[in-house]
Amino acid sequence: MKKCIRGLASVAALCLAAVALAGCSGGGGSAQKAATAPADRNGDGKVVIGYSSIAYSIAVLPQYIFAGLEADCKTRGWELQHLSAEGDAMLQGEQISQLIQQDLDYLVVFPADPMLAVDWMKEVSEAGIPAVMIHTDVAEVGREYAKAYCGPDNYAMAESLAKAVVEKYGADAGIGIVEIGGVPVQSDYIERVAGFDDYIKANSNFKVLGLEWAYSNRADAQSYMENFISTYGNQINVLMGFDDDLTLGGVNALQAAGMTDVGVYSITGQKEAIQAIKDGKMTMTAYYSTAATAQNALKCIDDLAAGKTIEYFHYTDVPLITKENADKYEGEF
Amino acid sequence: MMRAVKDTAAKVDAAGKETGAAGWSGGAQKGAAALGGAAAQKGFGRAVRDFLFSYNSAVIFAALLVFATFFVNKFSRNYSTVIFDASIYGCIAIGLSLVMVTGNIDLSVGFQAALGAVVVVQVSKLTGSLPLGVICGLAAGAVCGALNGAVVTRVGISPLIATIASNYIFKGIVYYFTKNGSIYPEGELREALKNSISKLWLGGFKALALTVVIVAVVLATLAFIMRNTDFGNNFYIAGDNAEAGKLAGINIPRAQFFAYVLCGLLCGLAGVFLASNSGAAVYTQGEGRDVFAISACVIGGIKMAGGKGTMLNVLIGILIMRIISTGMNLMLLPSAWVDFVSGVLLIVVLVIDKVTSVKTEDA
Amino acid sequence: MTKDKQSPLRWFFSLSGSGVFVALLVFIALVSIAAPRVTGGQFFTWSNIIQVFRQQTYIGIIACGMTLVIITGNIDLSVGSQLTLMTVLCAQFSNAWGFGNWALPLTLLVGVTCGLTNGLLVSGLKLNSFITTLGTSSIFGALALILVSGHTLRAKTALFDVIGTGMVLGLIPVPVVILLAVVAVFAFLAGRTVFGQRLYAIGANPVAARFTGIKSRREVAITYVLNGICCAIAAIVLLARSESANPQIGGSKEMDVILAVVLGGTSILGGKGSVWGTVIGFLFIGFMSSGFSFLAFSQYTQWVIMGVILLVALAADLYSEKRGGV
Repeated sequence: MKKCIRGLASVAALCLAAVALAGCSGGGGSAQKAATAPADRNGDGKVVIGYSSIAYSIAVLPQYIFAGLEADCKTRGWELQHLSAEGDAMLQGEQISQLIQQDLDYLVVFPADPMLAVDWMKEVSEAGIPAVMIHTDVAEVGREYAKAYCGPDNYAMAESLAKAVVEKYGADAGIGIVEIGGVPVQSDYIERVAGFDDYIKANSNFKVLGLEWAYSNRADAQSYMENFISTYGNQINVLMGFDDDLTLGGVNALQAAGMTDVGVYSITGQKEAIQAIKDGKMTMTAYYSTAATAQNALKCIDDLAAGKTIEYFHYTDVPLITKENADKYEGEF
Repeated sequence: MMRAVKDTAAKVDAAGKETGAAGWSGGAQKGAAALGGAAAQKGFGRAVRDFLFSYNSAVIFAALLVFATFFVNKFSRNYSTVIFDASIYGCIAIGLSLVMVTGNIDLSVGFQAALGAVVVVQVSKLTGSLPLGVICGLAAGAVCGALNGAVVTRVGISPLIATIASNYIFKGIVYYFTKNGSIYPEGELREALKNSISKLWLGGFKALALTVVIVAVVLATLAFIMRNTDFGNNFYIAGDNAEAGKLAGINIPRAQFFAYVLCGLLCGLAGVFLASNSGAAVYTQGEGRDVFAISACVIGGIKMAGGKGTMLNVLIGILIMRIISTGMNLMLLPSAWVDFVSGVLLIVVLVIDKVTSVKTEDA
Repeated sequence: MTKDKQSPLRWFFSLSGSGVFVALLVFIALVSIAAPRVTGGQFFTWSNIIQVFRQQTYIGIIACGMTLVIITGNIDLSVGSQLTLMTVLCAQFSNAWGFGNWALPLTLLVGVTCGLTNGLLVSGLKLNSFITTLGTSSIFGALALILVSGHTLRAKTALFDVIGTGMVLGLIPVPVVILLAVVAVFAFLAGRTVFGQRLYAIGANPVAARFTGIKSRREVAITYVLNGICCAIAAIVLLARSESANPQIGGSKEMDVILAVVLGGTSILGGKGSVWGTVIGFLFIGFMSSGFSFLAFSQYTQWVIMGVILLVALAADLYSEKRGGV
């Protein structure tokens, strides 16, 4: 009798596991109507686009890239099968391996790291699936495995901000800059920091006082900015935030400390940031349209499906928003 | 001396320990004995139940396998992937199981592995020699393990806090090297790194990759050592009944120390596998692996209190975790569901354990 | 048998967390001297002290609850995930699901629920607290992602503004006042109530406690519920600070909390320690973080030094115990 309980309990355990596994409907597919014939590469009657992202639940920008892809697929009547690794680069490799086993027509990838992506894209290309990189490119050695890259030129985007900073402050000496970055091991942030720092450091008038990585946490960004303010005080002339969500935390700290004449430069173009620019709390942000990037990616797929040869690089335009032109922009999120 | 140890342990065993659960002589042995010799007296049904007693994780594993094969799209094509991935992360769980059997814990296993990967890459880059890099990676793991072991056994700090502290240290070191993204050796050396270990598939089968073969050998060797040598038996005694062991003259702290060193060595091995599989060392190779390893061990049947659990337990636990992860990917479920199911399964296993062990004590 | 008269020095060092307190003072002194040379900043100022308190608020609040859990000989590894879950839920409640300021009591309710789950599993079913809370940690973290995935998480009501940026008496920020209130309540619970005494008894000797009639199940469950409430309060404070939430906000904060409690002299084995010691613990961590940024140390240096300090502090503790013959 007592032994039966263990048996029963084990059965209960496996039932629980089964229910947990089955109970949630397949989160990936948003199945839609009939396919656009050219894009139906494998001829199974529907167009299935796979999407592997390093993250889309834990940070704002990837979330909206995903939202953009989802919306565009819906209007075309395509199915989007998606997986997110939520920050785990090793997991993304596994997810790509499993994703390409689904009957995909095309694959879109937002990789964690360009170098790691080389092997992943090799596997994808060996499976015969044409792939488009989005927001973060695969490393140069792996470009043969992907068809296109759609997204910002992260390096140039940050460099344009550096140019704006130098333009404004160039004549003065001893300009102190503090930087707040995002996820330190994600290559889009690494490229942005490189793009900004390379240009700034070439000019001896400027000094980068410090760089802190706030991951995706605005509260942490705020804490780091408060620390910068206590440590460096009036030495700070410029705050360079590499993501609006984080820069806004820095802005909170600056406003609380009454340091309203510090130049605040940022990237993304969130609604809150544009409002902050209008209110004079932020100086400039590089407006990066996630919707446009998503549209570019799917347009590349359209072209590939129609048999056209396309260029590799499809850079999203990144206009710089300042108080003067802030009224023209609404921001996507 | 050996006889004295066995006698003492036998007395301890007989003094009311749980029947059927893996005693220090190994549950498999008991299960086999039950199936064999006891069959005549107790009946086949009772013998099977005794086996399930020690390995209720086997039931979970079988059920998951069946469910996945039939209900998860294309799972049957992924058996080799499950085995392959299990071999890479499994080393960490195997190492941890040794520490857990001696009654301790190690929360720094994830970053020990990441550190191993970092060392492999850095040394290869600096010296141009891949074998040297691999050896240094393994050595780095062993050193980390030795640090943990020394702090826990010599200084006497509680293993939980000690390994939280050492985790900070290892994390910092790994982050220092990987803060600007992945690090990897250049060109040919990178090709060698990738092709030498994780891409070496015997007979072209992924399920027979070199990593899998190495892990299988490790598992078999450890299983043998744990069951048939004093060195291995001492691990069980250290976890099960340290006082009796001390009375019998066994150096308990030394056994615990070696468990940590072996754990570190196996984490270093996992680091080598990770570096080879990705061709690079990345910070995120270390995050979350400790939770995976602990879950794999406990779900598989290793007890937190120590003194019980075999290599078979760990193997089943690792396979269960990998089936869940791979299956959920194929079902296109968000990775959050994997965490959810692991957490629930962990608690369910604890509950089953508690409910059934209470019943046995009443018997 | 005559008792040695305890010198004041002996008495001081027998207090929980006193060694760390001295180390903290030394550290502050060193940084105050070095900082102006390295980065030009002034370390030991009123505004910086307030800032350290403010930044450590949510860790400090949770650490108070965690102290009680650890005193009973248990542990709660799920606090990081609870923090995440409640931060995102609070943002959702107040904004997307339109409860406005009712989000606050709702969040407290969630905290009680999480705490009850842990408490029932650990005390009711008598499961190992380490593994159980590891399991619930995964579950709560997963719930945070599943429940709010795909939403922008903002909270912008007047109440959050007050909590986030308000000042009491124009001098002390509201979050710090909340922190001090929580500390006072928990110090009272632990040190001056029968409930507190029972917790120490349970931690020191669970079997004996049972035989003297202490219903340890109830006490232990209550500590987990209190811990859950602490996480809820911390979540509200954290959300009010930046008015935006994120499903990774909790991260591995449970390690930081445990670090604070243990540095404060509370033994991980139970039966020993105090909430005041925990205060020293999280202040130490806060001043160290702040000090490191004044010295322009990088994140990784901080981690390594934190780990080394923890080991040294614990080793010193053990050494003094052996010598003092406590």
